[in-house]
Amino acid sequence: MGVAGIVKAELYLQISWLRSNRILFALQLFWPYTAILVIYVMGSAYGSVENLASALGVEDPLLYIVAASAIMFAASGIIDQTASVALWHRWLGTLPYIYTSTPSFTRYLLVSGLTSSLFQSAFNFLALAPAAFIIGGLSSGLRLFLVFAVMIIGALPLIGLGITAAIASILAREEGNVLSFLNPLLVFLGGVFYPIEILPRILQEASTIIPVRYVVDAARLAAGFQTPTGQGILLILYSLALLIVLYNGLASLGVSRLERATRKRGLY
Amino acid sequence: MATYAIETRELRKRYRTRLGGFLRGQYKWVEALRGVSFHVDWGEIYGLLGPNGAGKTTTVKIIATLLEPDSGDAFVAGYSSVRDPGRVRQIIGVMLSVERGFFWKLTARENLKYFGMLYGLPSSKLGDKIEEVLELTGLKELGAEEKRFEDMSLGMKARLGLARALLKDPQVLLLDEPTLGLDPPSARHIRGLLRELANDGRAVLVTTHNMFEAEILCDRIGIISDGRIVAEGPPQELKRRVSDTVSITATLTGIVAEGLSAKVSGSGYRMLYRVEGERVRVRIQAKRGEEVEVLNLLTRLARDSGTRILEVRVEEPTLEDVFIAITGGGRWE
Repeated sequence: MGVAGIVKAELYLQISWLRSNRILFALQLFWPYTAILVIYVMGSAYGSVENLASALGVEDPLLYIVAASAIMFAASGIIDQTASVALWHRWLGTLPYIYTSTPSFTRYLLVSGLTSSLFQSAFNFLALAPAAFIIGGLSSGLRLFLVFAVMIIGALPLIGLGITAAIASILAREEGNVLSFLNPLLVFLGGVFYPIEILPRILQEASTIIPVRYVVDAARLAAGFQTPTGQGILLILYSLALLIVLYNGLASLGVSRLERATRKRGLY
Repeated sequence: MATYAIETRELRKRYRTRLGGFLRGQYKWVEALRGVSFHVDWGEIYGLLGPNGAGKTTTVKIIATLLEPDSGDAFVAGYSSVRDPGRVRQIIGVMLSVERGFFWKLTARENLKYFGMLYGLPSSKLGDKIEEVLELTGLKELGAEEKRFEDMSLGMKARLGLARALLKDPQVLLLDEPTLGLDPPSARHIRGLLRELANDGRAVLVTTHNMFEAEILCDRIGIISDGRIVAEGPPQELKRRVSDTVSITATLTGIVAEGLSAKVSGSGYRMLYRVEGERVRVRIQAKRGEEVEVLNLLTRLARDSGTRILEVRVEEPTLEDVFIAITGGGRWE
């Protein structure tokens, strides 16, 4: 099974699944907006959405709301997609058939995780684009597109972590617990909803090794919420590049051992 | 030396099962396989026959590269399932569970298309291949190709499982209880199809706990009990081992089967029993000429335990008797 085969199969699966689940399709278009509501409520905690925007240092609070929702969905999305693909197959009983269809399960997880993550990002973009266009016209729509493009690049350091989480989930037989732990941690330390500076110093230090933080920063710069400087963009790119090497290197070391351990325990 | 389609050498596997406990879990080791060795020739249907928990599925999973043994090895067309799993996966078609393993909201055709893509079948051939396996498994005849998996009967699901296993045109088929719970026509259709596939030169390994099926379907049978192959050979040859015996089968109601089994054993006979809802089906093995003695014993035990005998028969030996003779009987489920 080649990479192209996995990509085609996963896209076919996603589209067929949505086609036969019309309610799910409608909900997927709607649910990004529920997060906007959450952020609006968070803004109220600051007194008003404008106060929240001022605390975050953004120009357009409404556009920030839309884009921050998008960031939240995509920032940890790649881990979620990769790991949940594996768990989903386990729950359905399709995992053994996926496993025996490929010489390398890791390759399947890598490609299918990326494919479904990109598909989901595209779907979220399509869901949020109308709101962005209504709020800020064509330029806002383009900025939102830029945010998604940055997030896809920013998600690359997380793919290795996603594969590790996927195999750990199968190995631990604890279903979604690995994800339940990882996702809130990434959102918490990534500064999706608030400036990192409001966290205690030790957590600020910890956030420097969380790729989501840089994805969020890059997405904000791309959306023009803060004044982008060449230095800032370079710093983010270097940090992301470093983390791509670090995380994926660590994952590649551990993942074959984890896959072997999974085969020792049995795949169900 | 000719290469077998499938060969297992001294497979051993232990599982750690959790008994309970929250913070400090209590565990127990279970020996699933204790040195399983057998081989399957090309063009042969080999049946692994045994009760639930005997080690059938564990063996299939090891051959299918889904599980690693603690020791020993399995080979498919000469390739090791442990050291060369990628090669093995290219040769095998697998069917593990009849009820699960597909996307519930997708139709039979959509499910097959997804797996066909995943198997890397070229787009130009995929459509034809799907039509071929739908035809072969009878799904087309049943009008099930556009049915969602969630709306299918168990028989249709089993046929779809087999259709997927055949998509890759595998030379070796590994099927775990392929007819479990199926209606007789579906089971018959699948057995017929497996025979055709074997006649084409493919090797088929099926696990079953249905002795009747093993007898009419398989060229050779390996009886597995407690993680060991305890007898092996063609069904007729296995049955010859117990040709000097007869079996008294009875259906009883309202009885504690274990108690009856112990009393029958105490009288020097071997008994196999199966609990079927409110009833118990027992099979007591005896030497030819001892039939009346066993019938008297059964009547007495039934009277003493306040149960009723609904039906009783004297039968010629079957594979069940081979199992009783080798393992001493017990519960079959």
